[in-house]
Amino acid sequence: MLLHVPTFSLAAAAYQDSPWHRLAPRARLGVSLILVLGVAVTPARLELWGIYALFLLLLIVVSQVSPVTMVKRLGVELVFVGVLLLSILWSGQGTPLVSLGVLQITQDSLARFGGVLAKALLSLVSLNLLTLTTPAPRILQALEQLRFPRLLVRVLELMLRFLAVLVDELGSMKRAAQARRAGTLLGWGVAGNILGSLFLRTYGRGERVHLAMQARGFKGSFQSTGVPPLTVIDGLAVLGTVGFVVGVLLWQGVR
Amino acid sequence: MGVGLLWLGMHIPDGFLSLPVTALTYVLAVALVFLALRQTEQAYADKLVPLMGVSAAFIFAAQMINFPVLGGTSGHLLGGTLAGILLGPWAGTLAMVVVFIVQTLLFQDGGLTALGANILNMGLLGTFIGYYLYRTVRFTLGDQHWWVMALATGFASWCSVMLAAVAVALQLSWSGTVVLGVVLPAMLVVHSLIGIGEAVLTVAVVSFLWRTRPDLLFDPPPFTKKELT
Repeated sequence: MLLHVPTFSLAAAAYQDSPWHRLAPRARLGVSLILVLGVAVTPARLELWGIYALFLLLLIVVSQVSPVTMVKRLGVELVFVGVLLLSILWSGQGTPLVSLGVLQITQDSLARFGGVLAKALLSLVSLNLLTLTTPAPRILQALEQLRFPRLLVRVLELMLRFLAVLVDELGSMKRAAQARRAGTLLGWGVAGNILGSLFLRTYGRGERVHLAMQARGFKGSFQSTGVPPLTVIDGLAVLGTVGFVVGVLLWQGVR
Repeated sequence: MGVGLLWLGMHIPDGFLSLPVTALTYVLAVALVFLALRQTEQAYADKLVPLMGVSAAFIFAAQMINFPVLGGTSGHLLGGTLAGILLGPWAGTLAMVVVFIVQTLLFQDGGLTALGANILNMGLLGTFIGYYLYRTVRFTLGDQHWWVMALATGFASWCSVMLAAVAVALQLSWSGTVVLGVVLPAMLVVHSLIGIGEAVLTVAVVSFLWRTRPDLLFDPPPFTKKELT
């Protein structure tokens, strides 16, 4: 998070054209969510993950997302997953394969480590495909159409609009503090003062935004450029994904 | 960065929780979110969207400040208890929920299937319980003094980190992902240190506000009320 927030190039591949991009954001959100759910309910078996990986690879090829961008993002995200993953690796019971003093890797813990890594990786690819190709406001709009609480969507929309402003403000206060002291890390007191005054500014900003919204006749929803209707292809994409997930589950049940 | 990374270990990713744990945490989290929405709507009416929007953005930005920890590493604030102290239990919880949704959906920080658990661990335990811990300590010891405020703030922040760490360990072990006996002690040791960082920074922020605009705290100290009347 800390590493890729400052760049804000979230939807790096949003303005390409591909069959995937032509799907309505709702359908893309649906496909990604179904895949994440599918990964969650799929039993831990190597060949099943292989099928999922192939399916996701196919989606990446269809969507023409650059593999380099995808791998870079996965790299950053996996660092954060890594800490918990390592704790699994060291926490097994049974016959040790590798021992480092009290820490030992066992067959059992190695299997669980691999399983969790595969599931985390597949889920990440699926969600990255969504966020790389779909701008955040579109995702939020899609959430609303999928009956997510409206009030929550409004708050999320406003938060995203002001996030960049606050991060900028924080950045300038940090630079001002660093210019007056040596070193890049701030002391406790300074960090506290910066966050305290950021809160004051935020609170004032909230009041001003509220008044400005009232002055412009805000009636509870933002103007959007219209909701693209769902096409047959959107329906087929979502149904196809559901079919894929169910198919994998049935296939493994038969065997 | 080392401790910062461990801190992020509190956001459970996809693949770590079993289906029953996922389902249970989601049901509880959805109930919590609906309650928080209803309570904040009553309190703020049409101010809810702008105030909660900027407050969530504030918490998100606050998590980007790094502070020095032992031996050249750095950690960052989680801000659950801070959100509770500044905005109150319900609005604070709602702001944290919004932060988690954005982190999960747009930044892939924390898993989608683990979102329910993450909301419970840091929204319910961190903010809601954190706020009531702080309130209990502060109003038991007396509401007038800065040292009581500092003690209550620090104590509640540290406890909320420890509670969240215990919750993460329990959820992972119920899912069969880790063995509780191995992971719980490790989590407790690491997070008792991280909790100190959280407590010191939260106290530092609250101290600034106590000195400059104490009336903006969710529970303003009595001396601000006297000035107003």
